[in-house]
Amino acid sequence: MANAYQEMVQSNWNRAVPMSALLELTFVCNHACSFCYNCPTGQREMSTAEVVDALRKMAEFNILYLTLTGGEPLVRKDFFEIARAARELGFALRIYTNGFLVDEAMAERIKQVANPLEVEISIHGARPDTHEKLTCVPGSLQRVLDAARHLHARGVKVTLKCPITRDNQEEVLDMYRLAEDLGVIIIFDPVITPRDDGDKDPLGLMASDAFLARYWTDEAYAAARREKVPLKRCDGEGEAVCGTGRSSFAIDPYGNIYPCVQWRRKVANIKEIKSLREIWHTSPVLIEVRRTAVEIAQQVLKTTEAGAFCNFCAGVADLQMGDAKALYPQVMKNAAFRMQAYEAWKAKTGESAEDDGGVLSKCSM
Amino acid sequence: MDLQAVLAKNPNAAYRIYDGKATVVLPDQAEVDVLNEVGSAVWDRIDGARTLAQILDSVVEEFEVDRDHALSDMLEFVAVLREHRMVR
Repeated sequence: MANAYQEMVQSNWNRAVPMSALLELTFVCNHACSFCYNCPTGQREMSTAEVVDALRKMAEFNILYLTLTGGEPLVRKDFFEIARAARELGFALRIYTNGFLVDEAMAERIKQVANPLEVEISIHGARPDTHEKLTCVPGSLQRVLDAARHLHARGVKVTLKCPITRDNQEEVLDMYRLAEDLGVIIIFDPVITPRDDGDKDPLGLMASDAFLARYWTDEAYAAARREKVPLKRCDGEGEAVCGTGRSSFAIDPYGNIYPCVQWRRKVANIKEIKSLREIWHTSPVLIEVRRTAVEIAQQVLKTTEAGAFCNFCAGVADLQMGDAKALYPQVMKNAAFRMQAYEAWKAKTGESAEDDGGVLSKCSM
Repeated sequence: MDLQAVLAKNPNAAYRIYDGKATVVLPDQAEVDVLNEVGSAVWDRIDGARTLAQILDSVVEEFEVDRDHALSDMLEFVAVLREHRMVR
């Protein structure tokens, strides 16, 4: 049945039939992370009724996978009302939280009401001072670990997510061990992105070159990076670089619809349309975004050898460089380290990762 | 299997139909299944109210297939749905 699923996903991808969406329920957060990408505008966030109406429109549009995020989604007092409505509308849910409010009672409600496919929790260090330097909230690392433990004990799949920074790079292996001890997955991302308003300050937190070289080559990091050797892209003819505006879309707390969470080019407002079908195949923004995503895979990434090792994000390129097709420095630096590690491994073993069927997966949000 | 049986979808199952095929996600089992067109038609009609006999009649009418053949397919599907705990 796995093959039938993969075929169906590919067929939907080719026809730009979206299966997933991300809904930012609020920009309010109980943390103050120094590189949070959210930029609230002060507009009124959607009411419970407006969120439920948005859910109904997404269900009518046949969206299956829905991520509820923020800000911190659990600070909304109506979170479980929204989660219940989402389940009744037939979504498979993911929740992205900082875990701070997830005590045993909250974990139980999450299991009973939302019954999510997965809860993703941010982690920024293995030591309290490292994690809390970023979140600015004392005790927040322990809350992450407790949340993971409470959810895992109830059979909820938990994934910890960590952006690697200069501050936490030396704790990557310790964070991996913490996750292992908890019995949960951890995913590391070595590429830092600017804030949604274009502020590039967070880029100064990018992990050091020496660390990135070590991260991609040292066998000790193989399990943490989830790739034995760095995988190469394998974009078929005419394929897009990612699923932006194709396999998924994002909605912010004000109801604005974007091609994806990183590429905030407004498509429409969910409160102002009767149906997502009205806009999906006719929106000039979505048409352009899909065309650009194809051009990046088919042309831009082929102009450089490291392009084959690049987890390129058009949204970040547009935000940071003012050009969605510009090769932005931090992703190319990471790709160069990935390529070096791949070439060294290939020279040593004579093997090739794609021969084993391993190829870099595309971002579909 | 009793054709007067009434089955209900597992309330934890999330699903959508793409291109005539049901994609069913079961969070508790971390499992995703794609049913073929006849299986999807059966799945779509399982509502906690209709009997299997009524579902069979409806599928025979929609797909204009031989009743015995449809019955055999339906029973096979229901067995799979039960095995995967997609129905109760």
